[in-house]
Parts: sequence; C-alpha cells; structure tokens
Amino acid sequence: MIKLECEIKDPCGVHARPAGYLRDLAKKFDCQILLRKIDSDNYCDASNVLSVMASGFKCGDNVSVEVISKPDKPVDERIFIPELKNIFGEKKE
Amino acid sequence: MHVLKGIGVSEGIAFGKLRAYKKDFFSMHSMKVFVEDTDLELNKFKKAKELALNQLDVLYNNALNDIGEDYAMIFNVHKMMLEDIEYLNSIVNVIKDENVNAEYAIWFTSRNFEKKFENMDSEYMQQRASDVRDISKRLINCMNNQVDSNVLSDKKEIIIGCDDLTPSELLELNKDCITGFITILGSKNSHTSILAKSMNFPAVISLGDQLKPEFEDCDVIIDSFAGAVYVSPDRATIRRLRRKKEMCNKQQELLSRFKGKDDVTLDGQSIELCANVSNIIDIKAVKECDASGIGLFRSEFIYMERQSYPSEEEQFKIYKTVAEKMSPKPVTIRTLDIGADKQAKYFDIPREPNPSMGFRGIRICLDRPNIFKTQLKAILRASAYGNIRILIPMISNLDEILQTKALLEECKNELRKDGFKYDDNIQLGIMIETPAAVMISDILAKEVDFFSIGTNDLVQYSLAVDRQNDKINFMFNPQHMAILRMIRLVCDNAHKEGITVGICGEIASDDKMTEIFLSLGVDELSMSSPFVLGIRRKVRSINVSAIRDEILSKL
Repeated sequence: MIKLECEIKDPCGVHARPAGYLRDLAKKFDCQILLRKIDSDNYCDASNVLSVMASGFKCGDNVSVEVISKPDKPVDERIFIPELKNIFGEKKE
Repeated sequence: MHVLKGIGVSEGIAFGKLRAYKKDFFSMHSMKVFVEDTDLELNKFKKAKELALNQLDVLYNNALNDIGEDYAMIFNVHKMMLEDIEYLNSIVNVIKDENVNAEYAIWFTSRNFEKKFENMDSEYMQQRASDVRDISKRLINCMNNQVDSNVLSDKKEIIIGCDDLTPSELLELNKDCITGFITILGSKNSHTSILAKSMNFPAVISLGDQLKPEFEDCDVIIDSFAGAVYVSPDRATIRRLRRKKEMCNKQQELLSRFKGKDDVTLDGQSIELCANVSNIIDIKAVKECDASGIGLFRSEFIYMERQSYPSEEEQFKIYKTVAEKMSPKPVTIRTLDIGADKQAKYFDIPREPNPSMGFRGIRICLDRPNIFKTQLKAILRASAYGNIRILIPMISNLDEILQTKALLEECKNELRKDGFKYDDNIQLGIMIETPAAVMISDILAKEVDFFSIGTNDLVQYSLAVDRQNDKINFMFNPQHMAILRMIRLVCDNAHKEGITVGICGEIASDDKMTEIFLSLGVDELSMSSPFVLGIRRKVRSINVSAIRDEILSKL
C-alpha cells in the first residue's frame, strides 16, 4: 500500500474533471484509491465520481491518499505519484 | 386558426401536431408508491440505467462532432456519475428497504446528493447539484420512455411545445419525427437558440401566454423566418406555407451549388467572404457554408455568463480548437470588446451616463493590462496551431496601437522564456469603428497589418444615432453617403500602404451593397454564416469593371 499526503492546488478543488481523471487513474493502475481529508475519518473511493465530488475537497486542503494495489499488480510509484499530483493541480515541471 | 407571434430562431418552416414536452416528470415522481414486487422495480431501474448510459454515449459523440471536446465532456462526466457505486447502491437500498417504486428511490437519492452539493461554499460545486438532478431525471425519463416511445413513434410529424428547452434536451429530441419546437420563454442569444440555428432546426421562442394548453394535438405550422406559429391553420395558410417551404428548399439547393466555388467576379476580381462567430457552436455553420475563414471571432462570449475572469489555459484551449478546426483558413480573433451593451458583473464597471462612448473595448484592456495580457498570451499560444490574426476593437488614436504592440511584444518575450511556441509573424489589425480612426487611417495603416470596418458602431458614432433608441431607429442608415465615403477613404488609405480592408458589420451581408464594396476594392466581407453563399452567388454575377466608374462617380 502506498500512503501519501497531497495538497489540492487546483483553484476549483476536486471538481468534475479531476474526479473523472482520478477514476481513470484507478482504472489504469487497476488499484483502489481511497481519499480523505487529513482531519476527517470519512474515506471515499476514487472510483465513485459523485462521492469524490460530494466530499468537497477544496483548493488548499490536505488530503490523505491510500493506494491499495492487487498483490500481482504493484503500482509503480514513479509514474503514479506525478500523475496523481497533476490531477490535484500541481503543474508538471 | 390562431396566429401566435414570437421570435424565430434559425430559418425554416415546419409542419406537425403539437405535443407538450413533459419536463416535469421529476417532481411528479417524488410520490412514494409502495410495491409488492421489488425485483420488478430493481429490474426496471437496471434497464433504465443501461439505456441512460447508452444515451450519454450517443450524446457525447454527437456533441464531440458538433461543438468540440470541452463542451462534450459534460456528458462523459454524467456517465461517470451514473456509474457511481454509492449513488447506485443508495437507489437499490431504498427500493429494497422501503418496498417502494424505483422512481421514488431515484428522486430520494438524488435529493440527498443534491443537498450535499448545495451546501458547499464554492459556487461551482453548488451548480453540480443540477448535474445530479440531470442524471436522475434521465434515469426516470428512461423508465418512462420504455412505455412511451411507441406512442411517440406512431405520429410522423410532431412539434414540441414547452416552457423552455435546455441544449441537452434539444440535442436529444428525436429528429426523425420531431420537426420543430416552440417555447413560452427563451431568448435569441441563448445556447439553445444558437444550437437550433446551427442545426437548422425550425423554432419560434418567447411566445408567452399565447401558447395555451388546449392547443395540444392541434395541427400547427412554424414559420421561423417570420417568428409566427399557426395553430389549426386554414387551407389558404397551409397552401401558402407549403409553397414557402418549397421555395426555401429550392433556395437551399441552389445555394449548395455554390459550395466550393471561388469568390470571384465575372471579370476576375476576387474578395474573401468570411464568417462572424460569437460562440464555439457557430464553427460548424462556418464549415458548412464554406466561408474563406473567420473574419470576426467575438471573444466576449468567453467572458460572459460567468463569475470570474477566464484563465489563460481556458482561453488557449478555445482558441486552439478554433484554429485547428479552421486551419489553414484564417481565424481573426477580436480581443475583448466588453462594455457598452455587453457587460459582465465581475468586471465591476460602474454605471456610466453614456456607455457607448465610455469605458469599453481597448480602453478597458489598456487600463487593465493583466487581463489583456492573459488574452494576448492565450491567442499567441494558439497561433502555433493554425492561422490566427489579432483584431483590436474601438481604436480612436495611434497611441492605443503603439501600447498594444508593446504589450504584445512583452507577451511574446514572456512566452519565449517559458518555452511556449507561437507564430512570431502573427498579423495585428484594428477595427475602424470611430470616425477618428477613419480620418487618420493613413497614419494607422503604417502600424498594422489589416483594417476591419465595424459598420454598426461607425454608423452610430458618425450619424449620432443611438443603436438602441427605438425612436430614431429609422435614422440608423449604414448606406448613408457619409458612411460610404468613409469606407472609400479607409480603402484608399489602406491600399496605399499595401494592407487589406474588411467589413464586418451587418451591412456586409446586404446583397444590395455588394457592387459598391467591390467597386471600392474591399478585400474581405465577414457576415453571419447563413448569408455567405448568397453573397457568393451575387459576387459571381457581377462585372465590376462595367459598373465601377459610375458607382464611384456618385460617391
């Protein structure tokens, strides 16, 4: 399991488009992505676009991300993490 | 027979039986009905979900072709929402746990999610409540269509009547049997109207209380040229409008013969016939009418109907899409011309006693260089993907051009530093729409690559006739000798410096003026797409050398 913290940098927060990209990311890596605000216990699953949007992640929020991959399909962090950060509005350098 | 008067959008005539478009399924289904067989409800829901997903696929692909990816994306998002496990589980659980009908379960679940969004601080997220509502409505409609679709298909020609229609509802209407629509509300510039126009779908809107429930199932004829609706028309009217429809079809056919032809006169003088665009949706019509390019891309729409300034990235995507779709034909982007009759709240422009002579167009842009530079950079970046020209509105002195050029250089330098590509030779032109610009056009011509005469404002400023004052509307005359002489002066001064002159006001589409424009040597006419082929036909029938001297001697 990968565990990391990210800051939302997209001025609109995690709105429809990023929520869609998150779902696509989970599909692409065939993994489960769980998100929660640092100060909350409510997890939401990135495969549920509506739930992610309804969680109301705003710009500036710190989000805890847990990535659960299948035993035979480990997620390559070097590719996964930059893509994830990109979705949260961090520009690729 | 009843004759209803409204606003015609698009050009066409349609016959059919009037049917009310039932939109308010939704509140109807807030009714809880207890059922014995929940499996039946679950099954109904499952089928509706599959149907809805298919519909969204079709909508996405249609929208992708018609209006581009940025607008089409919404249907993809709707699709993903419809696959949300929590949303789906909630519906299933409500049906199972409460032994209720699927419609109620959807309504209940939808309300729960809507509330979550409505309670968020960001206005953007609050609006997502309407997306949830939209997908839930779709589900309920899908269930009902399973029953209703037979009823609809037994009638060949149907005209839809309703309060108002959203763009997605319009896109979804079954065009095989629905020939047109009429609405109680609506405005000419709404997305729905623009879409109807670009689809050539006959419609009359803004009928108010003239449209009565008892007209349901009556024969109606829509004449969207005249903005008229005939309910239970008499024989003479039917005959008259059948003839009008035939004429209109013939005209269309005739015009399609001029597609792919050059815009050149009998004696070989050529002129570019371009199209005006005020929305991304218009691009389709521009392609269809075979215009030589976009002569006027009114960038204001990107700034209107929103709460904050559009970002560089957002603008870049729009300009890039247009440039790519039109390439290699030119796209002339007029920079922000807000103010006067076009206002957006967040610009926070105080009320002015005389806004058309006030803080508007280039005056705002030079006063707020950051906003202007954001737009210039977005345009420059897009110029790497097609043939883009920049057009500056409301110029009344030389200094405004020099300042704009300095800003443009700044933008280029910054982009270069940041490693962005752009067309370094991008053409810069100005609108000639103040009498001052006409009188110093010899000086201005040395500084820019092209002129575009905006006759609407030029007429208003030159003749001192307010465009929006009904009382003196009859005095608003673009064919006034004063205006024609100004056009002549501008053409002469431009051609002396070897730059081109276009006309982009409404007068460009007036076929009574084509001879005069050709005689004056106007290089480009830019008009609404539907007029392009008609003017092409006119151009191809004129022998300029035979009439030029006589026309010029009268000016």
